[in-house]
Amino acid sequence: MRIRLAQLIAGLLWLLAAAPGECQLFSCTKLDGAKPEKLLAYLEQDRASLPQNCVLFAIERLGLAKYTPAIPLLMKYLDYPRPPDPGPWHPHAQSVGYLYPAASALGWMGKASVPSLLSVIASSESSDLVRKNASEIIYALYSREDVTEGIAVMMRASRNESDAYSRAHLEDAARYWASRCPPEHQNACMAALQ
Amino acid sequence: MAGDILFLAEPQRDKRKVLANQSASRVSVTLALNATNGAKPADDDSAGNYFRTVILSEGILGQAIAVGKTYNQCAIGTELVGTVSPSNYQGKVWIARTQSGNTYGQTKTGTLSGADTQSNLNYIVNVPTSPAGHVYELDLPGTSALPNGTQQSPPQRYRVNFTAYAVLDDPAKGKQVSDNFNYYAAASCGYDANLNTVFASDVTADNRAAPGTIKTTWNMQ
Repeated sequence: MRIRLAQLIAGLLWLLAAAPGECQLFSCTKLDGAKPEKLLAYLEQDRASLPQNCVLFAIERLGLAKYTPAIPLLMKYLDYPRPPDPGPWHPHAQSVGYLYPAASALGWMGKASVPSLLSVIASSESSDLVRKNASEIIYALYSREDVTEGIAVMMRASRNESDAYSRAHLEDAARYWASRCPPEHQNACMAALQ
Repeated sequence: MAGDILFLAEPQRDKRKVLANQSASRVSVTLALNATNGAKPADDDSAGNYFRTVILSEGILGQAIAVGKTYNQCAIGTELVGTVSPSNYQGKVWIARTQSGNTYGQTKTGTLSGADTQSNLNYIVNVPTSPAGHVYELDLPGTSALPNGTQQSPPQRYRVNFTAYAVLDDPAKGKQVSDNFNYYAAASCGYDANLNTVFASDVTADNRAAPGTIKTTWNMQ
């Protein structure tokens, strides 16, 4: 009887421990209820030393709080991925906001994040992945109202850029997303490149 | 109508005086699913334009071949619709959910269970639209074919029941303001002779999402 009770308790503890890992929203006991300022300070530490679940929790919560002082820091997490799905199935659409939670957080902050995203696209120090993720956030943000506007925003930034490489990065990003426009908006998206 | 409840603080002895007042709303949400083959997201679902960029096939809702992280996937485009009452409520309304199901290849390959709420802005409208008072959640549950497989490889199958419900303010801790809404998604995925990802149609009533529940066995029997 005592063994069965112990097994039952062990089973319950396993269930409690396992449940948060299965949740699509991230969890981190030590940051639960923390204010945005504390979450920001947490992420400012050496990211390699931080547990993944807490990093992702802090990113998600900063986004849901629309805490715009975190925008510059979140740019540094644009290549920080969520853990891969454990099999070939995909419970959710594989968008930038799903694969890289900082992209979703920056999206929640809205157009306030756009100037920093444009700088990241233009920067020669950014990786191709970061550049692609940043441009996808801009496209997704503006496409809620006008699918061509994100493309136009990147093109305008390109024209205002004095450095040739930065200009090219911004224009490449605009052209890529113009090519991904829904068919019925293709002509308008191409026109936005002019 | 928003503000349909009025709290008044009155002194016990003089009911003619009002010390303070505060209006509030009694919010409720009715959920429905749109996953008809070939249908488009609703016109007031502002996440719809971006949603299309991760879909490679012509169809948007219902059966869709979609971009996977490594491999394309056979997915079911789903649009959960919450109709908010009062329709002019302007607080945040999230569509949360739990899942319960299995995945299969030659044999069972995985179990999906527990909370499945997503906070990904890309596919969410969580402030009720005007004037309809709708909130939305778009998604693409499904599976890729067997990685590096052939036309002869066993189809990969996805059998999941979902329970969706609407909550206010916080997707993790908010107050539930709808009944539970049960729906399922089932998909099977393989390759054609040219190794294109295609839906496998060897199981009856497969490759769809609809209200209700299914048996989460490989053949749903």
